Amino acid sequence: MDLIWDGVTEALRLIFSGDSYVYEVTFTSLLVSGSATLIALVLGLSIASFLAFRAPPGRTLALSAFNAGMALPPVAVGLLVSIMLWRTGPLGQLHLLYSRTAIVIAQAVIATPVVAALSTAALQGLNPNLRLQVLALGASRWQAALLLFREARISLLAAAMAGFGAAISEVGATIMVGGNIKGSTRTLTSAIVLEVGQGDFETAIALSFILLGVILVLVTLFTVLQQRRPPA
Amino acid sequence: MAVRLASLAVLLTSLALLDSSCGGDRNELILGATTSVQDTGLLDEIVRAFEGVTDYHIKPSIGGSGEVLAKARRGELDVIMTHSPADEDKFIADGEGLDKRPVMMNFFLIAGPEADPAGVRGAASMSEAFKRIAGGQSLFISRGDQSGTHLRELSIWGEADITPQGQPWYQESSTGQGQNLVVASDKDAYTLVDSSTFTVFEKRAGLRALLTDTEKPNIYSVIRVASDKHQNVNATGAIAFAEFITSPAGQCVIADFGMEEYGKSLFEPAARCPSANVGG
Amino acid sequence: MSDPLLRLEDIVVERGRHRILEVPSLDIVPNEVLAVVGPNGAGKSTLLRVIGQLERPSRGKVLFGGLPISGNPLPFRRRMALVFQEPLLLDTSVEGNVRSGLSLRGVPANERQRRVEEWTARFGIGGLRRRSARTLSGGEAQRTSLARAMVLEPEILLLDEPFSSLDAPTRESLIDDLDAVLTTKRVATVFVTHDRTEALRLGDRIAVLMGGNVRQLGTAAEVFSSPVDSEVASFVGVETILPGRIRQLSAGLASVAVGDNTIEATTELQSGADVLVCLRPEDVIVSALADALPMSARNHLRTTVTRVRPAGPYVRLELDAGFTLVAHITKQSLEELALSPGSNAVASFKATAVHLIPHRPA
Repeated sequence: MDLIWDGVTEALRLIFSGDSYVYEVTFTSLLVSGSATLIALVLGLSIASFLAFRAPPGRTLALSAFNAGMALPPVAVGLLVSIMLWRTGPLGQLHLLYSRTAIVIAQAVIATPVVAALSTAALQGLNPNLRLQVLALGASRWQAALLLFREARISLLAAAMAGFGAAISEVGATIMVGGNIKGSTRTLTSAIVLEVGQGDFETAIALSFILLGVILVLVTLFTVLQQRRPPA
Repeated sequence: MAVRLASLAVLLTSLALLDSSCGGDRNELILGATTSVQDTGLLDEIVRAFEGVTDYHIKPSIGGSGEVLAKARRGELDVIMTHSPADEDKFIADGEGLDKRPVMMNFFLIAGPEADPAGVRGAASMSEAFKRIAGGQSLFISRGDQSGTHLRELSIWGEADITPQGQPWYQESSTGQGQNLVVASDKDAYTLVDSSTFTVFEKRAGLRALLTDTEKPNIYSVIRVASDKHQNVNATGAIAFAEFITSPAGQCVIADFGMEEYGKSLFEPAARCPSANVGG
Repeated sequence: MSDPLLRLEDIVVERGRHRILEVPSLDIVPNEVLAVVGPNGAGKSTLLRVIGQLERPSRGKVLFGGLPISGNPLPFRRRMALVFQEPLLLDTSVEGNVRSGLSLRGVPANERQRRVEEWTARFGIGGLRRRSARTLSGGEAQRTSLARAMVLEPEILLLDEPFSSLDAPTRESLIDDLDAVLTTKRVATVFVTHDRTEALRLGDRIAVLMGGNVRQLGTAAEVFSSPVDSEVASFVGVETILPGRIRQLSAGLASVAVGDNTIEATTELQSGADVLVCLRPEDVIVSALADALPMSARNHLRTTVTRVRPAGPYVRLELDAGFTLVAHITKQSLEELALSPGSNAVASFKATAVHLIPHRPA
């Protein structure tokens, strides 16, 4: 228990002493997981719109796949992305392995099924006639999608939060494709793993609290946005 | 749909730019290293020092010796630093690597509880100590992960002519070096550990270093991956790294590492560091 | 009749192996309210979606202003507006909802504001403009939905059972308001309903849609007095329906001019109102000329029998009284009265049996 208390104190000290290492890994985590969440949102919402609005044949099968994808083992994703990005792999010429971009790709692969599955459920929860009504009001397909996203924003923001949570808390794939390079691909989670490996449990716990704090602050912002009354 | 694809393309392009550190292709050097090098924090120091004197950017690929060698055989790595002599020799014999040079070393030691119920402290050799542990049925925690440490442990059991697998007193933790030590400490058990990791965890783990194997040091070597076999390999970068790490500058990075925090070097450089005045 | 604004040609809609709509031809004429009636599942909503460019038919084409609609339907969709049974409001203010279609079209802000103010006022929700749509009653919400459609000043207004989920008093007042709007601001309207009173109230022409087919299309009198077949008859309920105007009113008893005749009816409407006079065939008592007339009936019309047709257990008579009047009598009565085409007869009915529905003159 002492360790946890020490960890909290150490976390506060690191934050308020302006420790550059902590700020650096926090920044990397936010940048990488933020980008991954953005990509997951673009892909996930496109998939969800297609599945929910077009109702293509095989929708149930596709939905099952995405629902299962929410439980995609990150280590398996890391391995697959690594193999794709290996120099001898199909995307080797891009030289992306052991870079932030590689982590963004892996985290996006992990977060996309989460966003896609939850967003599909959110859009399917809307009154099916609402889309017709919006189209009848003269919306283009693009305008209709935006208006319906707005109607489903509470559930969609929950999907975005879940996607972001999956991305920023991920570590297995992050280390595998990123290499845990100080100053480049070291994120809060991979730094925690390293500190544990070095036996520095205080710092590891401190970083864990900082990670929790970052998630809490961001999710609170998201939640405030989500619960806000719609503008007139 | 076109708008969506276009915005996705813009997003991906901007992401590629997000890696300011990834520079030009030829400056990228992929270093395969073992977990102990990263876990102790030495790797960060080596990367910082090497990037300070060259234009190369190191991208470390971390794994056990077995994993690193397997990736090197696929041409995924440019240069490797491992500590599994037999496998390394086979790697070179197969024409996959060249120019093996020792970089640094540490020693394997048996860690165990202060009380030492099996009497490891008085043993004449490592295999003798293992026999005592087996005889006393004292709990032993093995890495069990085909790492360099695990392979060494298995060879000692071989010398002692004991098959520990399946015995109730023999457990495999399947974790990294540091974690393994914490597990052993938790269970008041014996385990085999390298001296660098032990130094880092000494305060944390309640275990004592009972017997150190000074006869067979654990030697880390640098090997360049054969560029005639794998066309993607950055041969000049690999040479630059091998030269640096065996040079006095590189050796001093190793010698200095751990001085500040633990009062001694975590790894012993293979050659001398001219400026090192504090003995390890 | 003027040139059609919109024309359906050989429209077929299939879902899997089911043919749910088949309309060889249907015109929507400027300024006209076409009421589409039919039982549930008749294909009414599908018809509306095909017209509104929300569903592509399996076959056939839709012509708008004489030009076939092909390619991107958006420009055509933007010339129409659709109101559903549910208000389907967006989660924003009343004003935001009424404005939404204009915003989607990029109408400038000041023009937008002027039109929003005009149409919220016309539908009696001017005072609710800032209210959140979530807090509206059913009637207020449907008014908002109607204002949101009309503010677009559509060339064709499509209404899909817009009053069905409202309680009776709310429905009445909203129908009154919509009627007033459609009277002053004539717009071609397709009004889908399963309620014949609503259809009579608002429709200039009535189309009966059953099993995906338009079984009958004509004026209210044609459809309700002369259904083409028994299926249509059993759905619409045969009635005599006559356009008229209330001439006089005393103590709730109206004298309604119908052609050259005057019919007395009980009503709550005002004098001078244009109405449809509705009379159920079973409420008409037919007597031979010499017989004593039933004294309780206020209306007695001299007629000539034009047609006698057995219809199940009773006989359907068509009587010419200057207009066609339908009556049902028993077979025994027919024999006793010895009626046949050409015979004279008196048709009597109570003032309370006459139902007056307000209706714009044709």
